[in-house]
Amino acid sequence: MAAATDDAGDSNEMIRVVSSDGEHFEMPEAAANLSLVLRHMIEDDCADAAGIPLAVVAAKPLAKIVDYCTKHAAKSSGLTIEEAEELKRFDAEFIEVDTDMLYDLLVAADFMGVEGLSKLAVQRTADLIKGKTPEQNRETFGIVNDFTPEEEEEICKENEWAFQITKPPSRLC
Amino acid sequence: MKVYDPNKRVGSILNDLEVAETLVANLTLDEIDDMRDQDSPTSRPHCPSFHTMANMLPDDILIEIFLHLPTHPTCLLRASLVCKQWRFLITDHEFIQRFCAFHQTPPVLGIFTNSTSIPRFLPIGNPPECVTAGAFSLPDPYWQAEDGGLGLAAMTGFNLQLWAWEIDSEGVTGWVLRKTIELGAVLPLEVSCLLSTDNHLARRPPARILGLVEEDDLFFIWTASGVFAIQLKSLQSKKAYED
Repeated sequence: MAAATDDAGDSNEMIRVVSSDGEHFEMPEAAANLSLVLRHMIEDDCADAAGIPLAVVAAKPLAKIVDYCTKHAAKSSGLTIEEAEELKRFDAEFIEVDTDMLYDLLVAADFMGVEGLSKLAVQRTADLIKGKTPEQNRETFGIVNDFTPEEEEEICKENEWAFQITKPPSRLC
Repeated sequence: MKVYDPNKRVGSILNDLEVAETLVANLTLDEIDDMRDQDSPTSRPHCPSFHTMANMLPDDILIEIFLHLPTHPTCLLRASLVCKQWRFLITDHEFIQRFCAFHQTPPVLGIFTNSTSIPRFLPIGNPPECVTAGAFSLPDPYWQAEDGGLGLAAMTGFNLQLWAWEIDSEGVTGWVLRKTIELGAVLPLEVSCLLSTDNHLARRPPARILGLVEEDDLFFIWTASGVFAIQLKSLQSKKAYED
């Protein structure tokens, strides 16, 4: 049985995972343990040489997630201020991705139960949304406006108090 | 029922299946769409852009993202105008409650100033993170901010009105009149008489709110015959100062 331990230092065992498109990845057990799903699989003795299959996670996001978990597992406890700062920088750079990858990470982190990564991706998406007009957000996320002009106008009217009236409605909403 | 159109028929190969299935299969695409609209007026509106990123995100992830938006209400409002799915999730009463609980501290939208003869609301922040100056205006100019939850006390003529900024069951926010206190019934009779005659002669309002002590629900009202302290719960008044 693979030793289920929370201490990164005690286990050198590598865990194999397989992406939905058949690519194999390896990461230390401590890194795999950052994923709730992988941890349960390891605890249930499902981690073998063939690798744990992740049916909904493609190779591209999985490679990123393995990176994330490996980095964070190596620096999991007793961080110095400098190490914490470095991890923060790593996260900031890590999440500088296009919206397609961001979407993949959101879904994959949620599916795999990697809490830290979920939070990171969620915050990044929220940061992308804030300060943008509805039109800019549609552009960023590739969303089609399914409101009729009448519906849009009605919502703007209802919420007039929140919008500066110096601009025409179409631009301020 | 729509006119039979063999070209638009869905699933005609299922014709030899059971009656119920055949009935469903015989619906035209338009009819199925119609049914969808009628069946669930409150459920998520159908988004034509279903293939795009944000629309493919499961609702629970989208909700998590919206929870992390800044507390300024204009931010949520603008996000709710992106598409129907976003609006549906953001305007949900349960979500609004979660959002308030998550952020705890409400944003400061502006300040009330009475530096001019008419107290005004001055919004804080730069557009778009800024509400309109008219957002918190009341018909009567003589009012002052009241309590920790957003509240206002306003004088209209000789009535003291207590307003609260509330979200109703449909998620619509606005000023709600909570209580009207007729000062004529609370203040000594001679004051009421004096004030009602005064009202015709002077352009100034007959009574003004000077201030309040929140913990005690105590209002100080100025009148031509002196300043009165009114206790809101007991509706007792006491002359505090004579001109």
